[in-house]
Amino acid sequence: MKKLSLLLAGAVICAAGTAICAEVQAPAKAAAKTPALRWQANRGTLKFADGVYSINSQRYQGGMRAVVPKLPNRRFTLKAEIRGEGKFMLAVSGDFGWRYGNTITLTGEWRPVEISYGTATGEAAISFLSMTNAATAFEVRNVEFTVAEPAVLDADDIEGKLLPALEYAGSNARKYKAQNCVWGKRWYHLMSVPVPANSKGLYYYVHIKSANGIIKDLYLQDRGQRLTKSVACSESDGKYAWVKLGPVNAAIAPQNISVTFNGDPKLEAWVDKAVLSTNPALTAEQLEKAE
Amino acid sequence: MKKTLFTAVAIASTAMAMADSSLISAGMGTPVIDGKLNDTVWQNSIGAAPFTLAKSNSFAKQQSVLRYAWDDENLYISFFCKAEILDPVNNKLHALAANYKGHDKDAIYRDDMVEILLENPAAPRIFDIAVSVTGAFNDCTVPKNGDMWHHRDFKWESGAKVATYVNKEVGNGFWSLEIAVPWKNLGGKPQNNDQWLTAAARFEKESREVSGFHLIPTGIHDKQCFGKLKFTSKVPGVTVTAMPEFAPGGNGLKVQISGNVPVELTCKTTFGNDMERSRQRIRKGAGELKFNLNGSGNFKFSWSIAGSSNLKEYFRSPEYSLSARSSKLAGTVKGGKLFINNRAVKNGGMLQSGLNKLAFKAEGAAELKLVCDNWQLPFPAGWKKSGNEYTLNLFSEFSTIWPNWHFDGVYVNQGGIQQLIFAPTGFPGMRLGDYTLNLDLPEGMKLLSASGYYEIYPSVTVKGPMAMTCGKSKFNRYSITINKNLKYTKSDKVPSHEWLGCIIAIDKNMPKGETQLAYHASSAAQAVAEVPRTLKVNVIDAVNGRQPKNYRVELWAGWLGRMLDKKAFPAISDYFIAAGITEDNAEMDAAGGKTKNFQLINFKNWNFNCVPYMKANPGTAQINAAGKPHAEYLCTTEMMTEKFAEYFRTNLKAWHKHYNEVQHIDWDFESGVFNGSLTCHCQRCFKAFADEFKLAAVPQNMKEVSARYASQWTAFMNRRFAKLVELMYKSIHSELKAGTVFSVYTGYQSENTKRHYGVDWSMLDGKVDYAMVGYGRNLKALIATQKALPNTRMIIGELYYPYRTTERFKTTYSTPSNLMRRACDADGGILLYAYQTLDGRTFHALGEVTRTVAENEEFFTSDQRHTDMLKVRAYSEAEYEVLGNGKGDYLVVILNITNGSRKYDAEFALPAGKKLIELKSGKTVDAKFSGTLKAGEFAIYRTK
Repeated sequence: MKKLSLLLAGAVICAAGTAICAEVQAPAKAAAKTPALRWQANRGTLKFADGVYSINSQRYQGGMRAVVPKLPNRRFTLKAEIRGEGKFMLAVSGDFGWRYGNTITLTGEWRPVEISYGTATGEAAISFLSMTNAATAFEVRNVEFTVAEPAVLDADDIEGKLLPALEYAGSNARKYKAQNCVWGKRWYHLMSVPVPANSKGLYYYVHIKSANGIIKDLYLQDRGQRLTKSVACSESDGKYAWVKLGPVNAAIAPQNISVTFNGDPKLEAWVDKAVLSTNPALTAEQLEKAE
Repeated sequence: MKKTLFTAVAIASTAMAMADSSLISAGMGTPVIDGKLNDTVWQNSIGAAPFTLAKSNSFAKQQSVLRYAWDDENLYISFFCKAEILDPVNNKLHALAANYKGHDKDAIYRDDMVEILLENPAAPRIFDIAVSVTGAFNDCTVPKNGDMWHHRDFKWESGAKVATYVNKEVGNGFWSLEIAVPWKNLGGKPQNNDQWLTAAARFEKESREVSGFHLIPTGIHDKQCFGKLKFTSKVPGVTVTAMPEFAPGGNGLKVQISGNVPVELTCKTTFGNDMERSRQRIRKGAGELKFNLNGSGNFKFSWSIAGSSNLKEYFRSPEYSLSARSSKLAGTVKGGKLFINNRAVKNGGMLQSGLNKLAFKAEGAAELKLVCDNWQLPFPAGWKKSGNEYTLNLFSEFSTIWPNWHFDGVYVNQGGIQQLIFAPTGFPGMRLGDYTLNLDLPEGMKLLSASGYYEIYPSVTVKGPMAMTCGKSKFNRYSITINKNLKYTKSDKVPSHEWLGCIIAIDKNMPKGETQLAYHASSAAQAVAEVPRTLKVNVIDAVNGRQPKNYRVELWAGWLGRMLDKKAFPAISDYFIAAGITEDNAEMDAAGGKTKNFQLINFKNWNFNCVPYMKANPGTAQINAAGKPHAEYLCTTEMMTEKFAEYFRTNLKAWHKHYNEVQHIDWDFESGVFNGSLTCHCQRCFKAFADEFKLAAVPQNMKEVSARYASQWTAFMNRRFAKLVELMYKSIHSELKAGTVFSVYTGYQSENTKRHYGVDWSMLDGKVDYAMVGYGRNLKALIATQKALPNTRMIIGELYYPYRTTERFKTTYSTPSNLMRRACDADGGILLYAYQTLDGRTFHALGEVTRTVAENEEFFTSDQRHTDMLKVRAYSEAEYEVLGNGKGDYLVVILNITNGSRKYDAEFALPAGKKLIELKSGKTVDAKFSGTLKAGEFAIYRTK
């Protein structure tokens, strides 16, 4: 891991209209590989002094924001300490929309916050966001932006690896041993499926059925970051049917990702198995034979 | 090939899985069948390990690794069998059971051996191959279902090519084997990705272990212990280098990856219905799969290896049933917030093994009442206060006692003494001057002394006893503080002489039964505490032994004599005497002890110093393999001279006086002829050798000697040792006080002993007062030694494990039958090695034996065995003995060496006019007699 400390003596502070932009030079050696972040105020003002960013948020989702240097197929982590007033969230927007961190209530004490993200396109932005409707003020210090080494991947064909749902149950999925399946509602982690170190596109065929409606937004995610496009299940009359998710890019995914859906809170889903493959066109017959 | 070393880990005694779910993959490649596992194919294969004991839930003490490979012609199987007995340091080389030379005979099961079963789905029966360490093997087929053992068919010939290799190296004793079985004899060659079934077991004779990679609920001939064997083109090279400790909190499974197949290690831990999976990718080299045990009690553990890019599974272990003891801190938290390891907790939380950082942020009237395992966490005493924040470094499962008494608890005798040894490790990240070991002893036990050895800890302060309660139990706390700056050292890195010895006295009226003591470390200066570790204590009968008059009962006492605080020595000495011990090497007499001493002699400069001779006679130093002179040792040819003999005689008295005119001098010699303490590489020695054997040319170095003249050099060095022994024997008897005796200690008579220990007993007969040998009982080696020493009394030893402070496995102990067997074999005495690992069980057993020996000493010292006069149904000859006194009377001994009670039906060839009396009851019995023995007991009868 390469660390880029953003709190250096050579900090440059510049004014930009009502917002104040703080830009910090990264060390020369590291800078050659990873340029520094450039923080800008968002719906408020930003000052930087003595290693501390001071943000006055004018309203909801005010704060500061930085575009991440274009680093395709890389994962990065941002750590910082924050204190202030009101509610706060750290978030990243990228390939498949937003990844939101937890909402926390700020106090006068410094507390650590952290978020990580993987981007295939290399296009992402990090935001320190006030989650309070009224104007608030908060401070940020010890900002560390870390970019992971590129993932070492091998190109390998996976014909079809069976992932039994009970064996790979998600963290809050309800397990039904007798029915050999897991159950969940929207936002549940139905399954936690492995991501191999494979440079080929990875497809996850999920054997799923639903009740109280049809799932229209099924996807794979890592702690709030969507890793695949949303897929709608077809009408299956309450019977299990295969749904393909992917491709997942292993370069930006952690070792385990979750099968999740969004939609009507009344929706219920059952999954009894999934199949991992690099083949985007497996038939139902082939999927049933997977081991 | 990377050697694996596992520490034995306790596994809960819960029922084992009924079916083995394991998988081993075999990759393609062709090894050379020479028994050595240095082939590339083995390095790039999966080492299936660890081995677990049959019918048990414990990992084997003697670990093994199983590997498979294949090519177009053969299936290849290899075993790596770690063997403590093959480490010369343990003096048990003779214990390797390697006698089988036959084919298809059950006698193979008396050898150290392995057995492997293979089920080809296409073949009608299962193939069964058993291989002895000698390389001889059996092959048969067994049915796929039903009773395999009784339906073995030996008509099948595997056509196997087998080779074994035995490595007797200090610190690395093992044997290994390779088998190549042609496919044509296994029902045909499998295709890529085909799966067979297999089971494999190792039979280890010295520790009586039967173990397998697959779980073995009954025996290996049972379908339950078969796992999958998959044939594939390429597999990763994986060797397990350390199994996890399975302690609550963080754990790690360490592996070494070779070859070009990156892997993904996965482990599953399941407490009840909660399964957690941990994964780790490793491309090459050393790696560790880290996982947390976030629960307590019984859990299941398994691990697997898959390709990191395709998740193709190459290996899956059986599912082990294990147990983790957790420490939960729970109670009341008021007036503030409590954090354990930076996590806010409401009313306590789980402690992880090792360091736990506790912080309490007070917000008013603080109240913290937390209990862990009945132990109340003190507050605010011992905490560090900064503003309104209190902090404490709380350790859990941290302090180390050796040996590891936590398996069965420690057994103590009423009125006895127990030594407990602790590792003063300090604490990670701290240098402290007040490391304190707190010992909480139950009522009836008191600390007599506590100190380090030599001058390692010049100042140790003991405070106590301080009365305290823990739960409903009352204890007396002794706080033993080392007043020295102590830097943290892991317990397995603390040398044995740097441990802390505590001598505890047990009241003679302390009730028999189970109780417990506790220990924990602390430092007030650094705000460090530890959750006390409780240790089960079993109070058993007092020892009731008796010292024989002419039969030696010798205890090797380790560092005991080097304790700085010697005030417990009189009490220890009394305890030894009560057990019948006649001599030890703790030098307790100087501090009021009454046991006699024995003293080791050698040519180290702190012992019999030859450096003055070397200085007075330049050029007489021993030359090492690199051609450099040794700082302490003399050239062996020089030691053969009259000049050296005179030096020895002249300085012997002073040496003897230095050791308080000790009554028994022993030369413990276990030194190889090619690289031992008497091995000199100088040209003078090589020339003497060449002259003796009339060689055409003088060898230039030891490499040439070992390659061309191994047997001659062995005899040459054995003779030189014998000459030095003769010098010592004569000098001791001519120069020292009458009654001073001389002995040599080494292994039983064998070719191994001649070469690896440098001793040929047949050259020493009549040149020593006592021949001390051991350990264990290999009848062939015992008889060979007795034959080699017709005129010399023998003392036979018993070795107790563990041997090293790094070893954490269960302690061994003696039963009365075990020690009585030694006594029946030895006409000079018995020796016990060593005191550090003994508890009340062995002392009690020793008392039973020494009393019997003392009351019937003429039988034990006469060296007359008449085993043929007795027959005991279903007992082997090792389980009974008849000793004569040379005056027409006999002592009949029957031993129960099993773990359960056992009946005996015996018939004795009672001489006319003699009665046979059972000595314990005094009753006369017939020539045909019977009885029942409890586990480990012996029966004794005498004619009159």
